[in-house]
Amino acid sequence: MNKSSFLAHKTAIYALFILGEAGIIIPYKNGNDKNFLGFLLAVLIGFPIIYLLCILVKKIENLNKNNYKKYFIAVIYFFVAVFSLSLGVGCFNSFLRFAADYILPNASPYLMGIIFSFVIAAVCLSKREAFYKLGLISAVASAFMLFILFLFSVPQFNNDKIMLLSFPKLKEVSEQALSYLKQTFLPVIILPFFEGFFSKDNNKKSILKGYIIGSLFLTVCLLNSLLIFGNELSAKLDFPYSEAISTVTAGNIFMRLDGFSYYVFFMSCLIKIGLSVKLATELFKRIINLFALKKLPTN
Amino acid sequence: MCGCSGYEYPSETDMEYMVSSLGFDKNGEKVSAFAEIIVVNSGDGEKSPEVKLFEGVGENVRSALYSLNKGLAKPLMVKHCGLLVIGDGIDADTLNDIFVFSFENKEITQAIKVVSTENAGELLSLKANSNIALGYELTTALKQNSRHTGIVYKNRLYEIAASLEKKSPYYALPVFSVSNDKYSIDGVKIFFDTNAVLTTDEKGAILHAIMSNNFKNGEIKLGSECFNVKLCSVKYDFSYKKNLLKTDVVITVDTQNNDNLLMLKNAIHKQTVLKTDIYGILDRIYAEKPELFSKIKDNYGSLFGLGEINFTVRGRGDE
Amino acid sequence: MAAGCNDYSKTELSESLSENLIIFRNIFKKDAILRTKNISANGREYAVLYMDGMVNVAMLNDSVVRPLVMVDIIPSAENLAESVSKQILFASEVKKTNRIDDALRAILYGDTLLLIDGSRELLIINTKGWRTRGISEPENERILQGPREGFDEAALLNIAMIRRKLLTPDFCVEIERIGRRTDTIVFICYLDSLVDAKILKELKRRLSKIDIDGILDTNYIAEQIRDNRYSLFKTTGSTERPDIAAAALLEGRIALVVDGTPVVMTLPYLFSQNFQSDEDYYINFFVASVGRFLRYICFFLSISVPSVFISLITFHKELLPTTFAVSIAELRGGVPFSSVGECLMLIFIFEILRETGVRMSQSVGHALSIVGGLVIGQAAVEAKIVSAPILIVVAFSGISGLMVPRLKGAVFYLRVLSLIASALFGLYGYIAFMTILFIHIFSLSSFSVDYTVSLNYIKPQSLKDTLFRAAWFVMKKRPLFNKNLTRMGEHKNK
Repeated sequence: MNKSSFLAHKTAIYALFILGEAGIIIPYKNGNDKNFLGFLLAVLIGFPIIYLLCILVKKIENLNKNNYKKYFIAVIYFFVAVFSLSLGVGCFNSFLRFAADYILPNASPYLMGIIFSFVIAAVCLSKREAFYKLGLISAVASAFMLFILFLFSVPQFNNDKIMLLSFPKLKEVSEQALSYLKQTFLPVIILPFFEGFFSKDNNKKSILKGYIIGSLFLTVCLLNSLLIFGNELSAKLDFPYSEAISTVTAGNIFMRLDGFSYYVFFMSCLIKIGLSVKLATELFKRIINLFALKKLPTN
Repeated sequence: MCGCSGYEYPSETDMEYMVSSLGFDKNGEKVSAFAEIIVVNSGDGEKSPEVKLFEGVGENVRSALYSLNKGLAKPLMVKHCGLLVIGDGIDADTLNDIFVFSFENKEITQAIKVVSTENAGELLSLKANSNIALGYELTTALKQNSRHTGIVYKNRLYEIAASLEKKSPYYALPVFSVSNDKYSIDGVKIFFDTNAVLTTDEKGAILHAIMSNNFKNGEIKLGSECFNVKLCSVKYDFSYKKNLLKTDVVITVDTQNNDNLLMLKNAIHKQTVLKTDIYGILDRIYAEKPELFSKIKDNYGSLFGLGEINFTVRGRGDE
Repeated sequence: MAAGCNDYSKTELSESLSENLIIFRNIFKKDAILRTKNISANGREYAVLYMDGMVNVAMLNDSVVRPLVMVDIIPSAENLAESVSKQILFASEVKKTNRIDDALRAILYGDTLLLIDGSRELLIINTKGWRTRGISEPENERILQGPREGFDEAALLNIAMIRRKLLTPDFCVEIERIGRRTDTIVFICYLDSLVDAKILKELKRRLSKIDIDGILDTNYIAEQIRDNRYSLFKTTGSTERPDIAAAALLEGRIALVVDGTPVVMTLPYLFSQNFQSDEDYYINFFVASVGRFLRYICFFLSISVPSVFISLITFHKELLPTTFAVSIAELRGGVPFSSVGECLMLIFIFEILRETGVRMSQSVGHALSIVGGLVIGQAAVEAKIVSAPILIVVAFSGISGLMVPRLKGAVFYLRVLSLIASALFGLYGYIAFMTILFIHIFSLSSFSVDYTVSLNYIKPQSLKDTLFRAAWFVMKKRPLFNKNLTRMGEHKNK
């Protein structure tokens, strides 16, 4: 039996990683009418960065791990691992806030945190193939839901809301772009490490495809809230996308469709945290293996 | 698990009173809160649900609502509330409180429709003819009116919230009036921030829709006549010397019927006495002439009040 | 070797017929059905031993007794047993042995023993003739179109039925005996050119580790050799149909035929097989695909509908349409129980009705349907013990679950667990539960083959027999865990 390389699954996981908690909270608080342009610029800038990183990570992995280079590699691994864990923690906090304030405002946030932690533990302790398949199924379901919700929202869109009120200046647009880069697209720097460790051939394609699909997801979420609420109100709200979807009706029967967004964000945050934790674990194992006599089993 | 740190089992649909509409009014210093509640007849399939109106009075919005809740056997469920009625007695501060309460209360949907009326209690005490509750019937009536006239009412809570965030925070709420135990939609009430500035009749509502670009498919109906309207141009002339802003608006109407044209011209000219930017002129200036905007934005209110706004209505044949 | 756990491997036969008879009579001293017939023929003494009811008496008489008496040949004294076997007996299958344990195994399985005075060896003659149920269509695997044969309790007959479908010398059958007291014969069947040797080796290893008193059914083995023993999802298949067993072998699987039960085990077993119906491959692929897709949907609905409904009417009332919310409030008014309690109660009642319907005879079944329908359906709602919406939801969920009979046990547990999760945390709890369920399913394996192996490859060939059933002319490859993938077109150019 041929071993699968899980390329499509990893693409799906990377797409959900990028959606992460950003789908819940974008646009950011400092949004203005240059918001959408700034977002598009951030997407464009992120693309070559991640491409270059893939090449760089491969070179790091191929370095001859003799004495001084060992320390250099260990330092890189350490920082990436800590960053990865911090991403996971940040995502956990964001999602829990969404769940406590929006999904179940009357329930105890501690209990909800415990439940979510159980699920995260199940994901992190599961086999890698199970994680991949979960990511694939979730990405397909999320894409379907986001698309359907976007279609239902179209009658409520007001194109004037994202029209530029004045000709965009580079400074204004780049401020917005930097905000998106820092909070949404900077985390993708850990993906080449994940791809490098858990793939025999370090296939850049799945990362790049995942990046494009994830950016599409984010674009849909952002457009949905901007076209319904406008820049100023979207920037003021805590959970713009879900609140936008709550105003959407499907025919005359279904009044609020934000229930679907619960699943999308639950899975995107779960996958992001799962990936971050799995990567951090693998990085720490490799650091130990660089210096230890007895090697821990790594991928 | 129910004992664990604040876990509370939620109540079910039959353990709460479902609110179909909320209303607020003010009489002197006292704020009244009205709630139209659907009372279900437990399992009796032959009797349809009853609708009752409850009132609570207090010093402010929250105390009025508290007083309303106090007299009831079950808690109120506002998740299905479809209408928010603002009485004429509500002042700017109270309206601000109402909006703050509605935005902060996650149970009230952002898509709730907000309307204005002279007496909120009188409107909500009417009997529904074609729906379970009056609140739902009034929202359907608004849709029907919109379909008939072509006006798009942007009176949902989130639309009002979006307007309040703009540089020119104006919005229009449709006005319901009550006569002989029947309701009708008579124009719009225009607000600037939370201050009511103008109440118009149906023709004024049409003008407002034209200027705000809130009509469907370029068509407006006036009475039984339907004709296409296009807002052609808005020109601004700011005189630094005289500190005056002059605005010229040209509207083109696609009709060869001179009577219609005259009717619309008369309607528009009637409504030209304005002291506040209720048509979003400031937004247009910001978009089209940002240099002018930066000069006038700080004392825009007084400038507009002193300035002129001229409407010119042309038929297609006049071009 | 079974037979009361005594070890007869060291007991030796003697040349004296009477001594040998004493050995056997002592072994079976409390067994009233052992029969002995002494024969004197051509100056030699013989004894025929058999178990009454296990042998074909006519065959015994014709192939053993009559030839011994009638055939006028004196067997050679040097190689007595061999000589009798070849020159006198008319039987088609004769073996000789000097081991008591082999002799005991044979006589207990319906063979006849022929003891010869003057020989340390005895002959084992195949005279099996126990009564079987006969070939009939299995009750639980009825189909509208296709073969209607079913296995019965005789393993050899079952093997023959499979062999009739696989007329190839590639069809291999190996024997294992499991059970200290039952010494049950287990046949391991496979196609040599298709089977994965690692899976076969692993199977034999697991079978050798079984140490149990007796094996009366395939499930005794299944529960001891399967992966993920505590999982609700079974990782070994079972069938009572020879065509299904043959189809499994043609896909590179292994079939275990256990004597004494008509249920044949197949492995490896995948998640998608739970949704396959036996007649999927005998009807048009469009029709089969609709049924297959419906089964997936029904499995999902059966678990989800009660829990989503409960979470909507308790935690997320804003997601209900307004008129529906008013109806629910009206219909639930006056019911003393909470919606969760009501739902759980109805789920258990439904399971009780279903189980009783299966066990009872047809005449009682009619009364049961009246009780179930009228009493619970109508009277309980009118008495406001239960409410109509919850009854409808539970009934729909129960009927959906019946669409997937292979998962009926799992569906019940999952439905209840999902309901509890939703009752505590609404849609949040439901989503968390479903996520853990999916992780569990994706983590399962069956003899080192991923339980959801078709999801490993996003290719048409891997998905052709999962959510839908592709046409036969498209199914060119076997399931992807096989070592030999080509199903069609191998001999195209020959």
